Amino acid sequence: MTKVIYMDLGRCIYCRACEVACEREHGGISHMFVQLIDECYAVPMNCRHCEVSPCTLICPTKAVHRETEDAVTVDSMKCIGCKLCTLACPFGVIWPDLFNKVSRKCDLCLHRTRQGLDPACVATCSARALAYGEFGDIIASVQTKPATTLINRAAGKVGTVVTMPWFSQGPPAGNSRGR
Amino acid sequence: MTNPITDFANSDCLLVIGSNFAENHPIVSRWVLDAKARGASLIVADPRLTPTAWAADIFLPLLPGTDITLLNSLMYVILEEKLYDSAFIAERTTGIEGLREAVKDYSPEKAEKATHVPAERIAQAARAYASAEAAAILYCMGVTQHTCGTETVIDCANLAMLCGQIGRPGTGVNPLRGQDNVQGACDMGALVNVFPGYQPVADAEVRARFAGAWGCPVETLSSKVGLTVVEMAHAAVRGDLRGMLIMGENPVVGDPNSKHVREGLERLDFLAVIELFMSESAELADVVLPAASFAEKRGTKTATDRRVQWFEQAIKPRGEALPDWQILCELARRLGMHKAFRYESVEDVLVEINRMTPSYAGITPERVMRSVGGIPWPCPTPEHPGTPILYTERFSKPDGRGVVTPVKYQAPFEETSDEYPLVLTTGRVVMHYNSGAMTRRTRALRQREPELFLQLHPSTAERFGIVDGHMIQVTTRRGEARAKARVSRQIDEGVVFMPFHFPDTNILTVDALDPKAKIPEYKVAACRIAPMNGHEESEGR
Repeated sequence: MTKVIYMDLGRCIYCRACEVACEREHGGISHMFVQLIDECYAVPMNCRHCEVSPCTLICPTKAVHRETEDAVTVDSMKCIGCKLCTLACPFGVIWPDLFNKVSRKCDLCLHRTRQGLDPACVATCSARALAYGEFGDIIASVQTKPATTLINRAAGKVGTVVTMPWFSQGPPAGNSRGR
Repeated sequence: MTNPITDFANSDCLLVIGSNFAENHPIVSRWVLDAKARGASLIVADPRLTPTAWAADIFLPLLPGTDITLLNSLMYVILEEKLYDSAFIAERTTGIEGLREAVKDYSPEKAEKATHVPAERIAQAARAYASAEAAAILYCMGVTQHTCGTETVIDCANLAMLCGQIGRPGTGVNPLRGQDNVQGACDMGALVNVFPGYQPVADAEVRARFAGAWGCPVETLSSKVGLTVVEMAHAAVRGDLRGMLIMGENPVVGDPNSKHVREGLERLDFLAVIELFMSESAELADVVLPAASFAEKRGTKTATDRRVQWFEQAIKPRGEALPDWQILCELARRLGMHKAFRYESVEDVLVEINRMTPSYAGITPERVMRSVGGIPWPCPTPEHPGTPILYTERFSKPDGRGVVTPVKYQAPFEETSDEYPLVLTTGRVVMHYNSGAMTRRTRALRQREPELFLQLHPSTAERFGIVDGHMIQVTTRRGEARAKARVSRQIDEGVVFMPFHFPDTNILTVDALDPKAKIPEYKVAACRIAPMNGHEESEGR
């Protein structure tokens, strides 16, 4: 049963509290990177703990390894600081710790999750854009949400106008806002 | 707020005007986005495409200071298309007759010219709000920090009453108040004209009651309405005000026209500041008294939705710091007023509040300590469950009816000119808190937002020869400031934005006040900008 951190892109408000919480849990270094795209889409990027993980495959000392079924972590005593894992990572979320000269990455907050707590980024997310749980449960809830919206709208319960994203209208006269 | 924060999830349409809750009340996003997930429509009116507006179904990008025009135009459409709630108007309101006349000049086409919001979107927003089963208005300082702040708030209430969108779950007029306990501070009479529970100082009976409770001669309680913060600074400059005790405020950074404020504080014969850190204002003080932080004290706080919650001390105060109530009691003792300040604990203070503040009468220490999620006032008796939603049956008027008070657009105090061609509006960013006295000291936050910036549209930047990331000089009639250029499409042409968490911003702002609420017009000033010589890079990013 794989547990994952899920991100709901429609809910992220770019408050970056997850980054700050991660920093607090990991000695001042955040492994969460919220990216702002086109000034209006926020994407919290963290390690995907890939099933076939390029970082573990490329690591010459096996310092980057699968610690549990869910989590890929770095054994800093084995890490030689070659930074190959940072090059191999398709998401750019492994960063070298320049002070200790080792690679550091998301460890899925094993010190918390082993006690039954959520990872710090998830626990702190005020907009509930991040969730932690069984992959199947999360995907089921993701499917339920648009289905609920659909049925509520069809039944006229909510949202009497059809949702119209503001950016689909193009720049209005006298307003040069670009998108 | 008329309704609890969590109740936003029950709304079918949320009209957000002058609030950027995603940055300033991030937790509110949770329930607003829950409502959206159910299919509710979200309408956001803001001069900037803020993170709050990202999620909007209908975005109304209005020019700063034109909120009344927009609100009146919404009501124009609602009246024109007969989308109002006739039964609610007939049974629960008075004064609706004047509204039709007052808003007749606010057709969406006319409003588009004044507000820059496309007429079609105004009509769409009006239909969405009025025809939703339950629609809520959320507003904040974007509408209040104007010389017409009071009128704009009245207009929000007019809109809610016109559509009967108040007094039920998912509806209401909801000002998102700031600090964790700013609602509590107002409830306790930290205002210029009232004792706790909004009981007027001008009322002799009220004065007698408080004099009795506090064991002091009635003539020691002044019947005069005092000076508000900005008025105090003005009085200090004039020399009419000679001494000041400041608790947890940093007016040198936070107040408008701050050079003037600094001058006022410097002229005082005596200034004492009760603070956590050596803030810019504390540096001017004769005496600084160290206060305990939130984690070092216990007691109650009242949140924006009138929810009174108990909190416990997590750590002991560091050094000489004391909780504020103990500092005040010590001051009183040394001034010979110990008889009126006989409190041994925060519980003693709350017992007095129960006795003297009718809306808090039932929120006893024993009860609030045990409650999960707090108790919303009014809670008049220990058996009363509290009142999560206000005005379910009647309004707080003698006849129980809400009074519709038509209002008209008023121009801001300062308008743009050839010399000052841009509108400067100010606000907050998610990384910082108020004057930054705490957050500018926090590494994780400072790294992410290290310095003062000015947000401007690419074409504004081009027009004034400004390059993204370079330093700009910003000038208003009150002074000048330096800020780093942040070129962005989140803001319209002709408008620029600066956060006020850094010392220079409020050098620029206007200290003209709303005549009723005395709130300064932080949201509109006329400015000009120019690149700094040599395009020097500042430190930081």
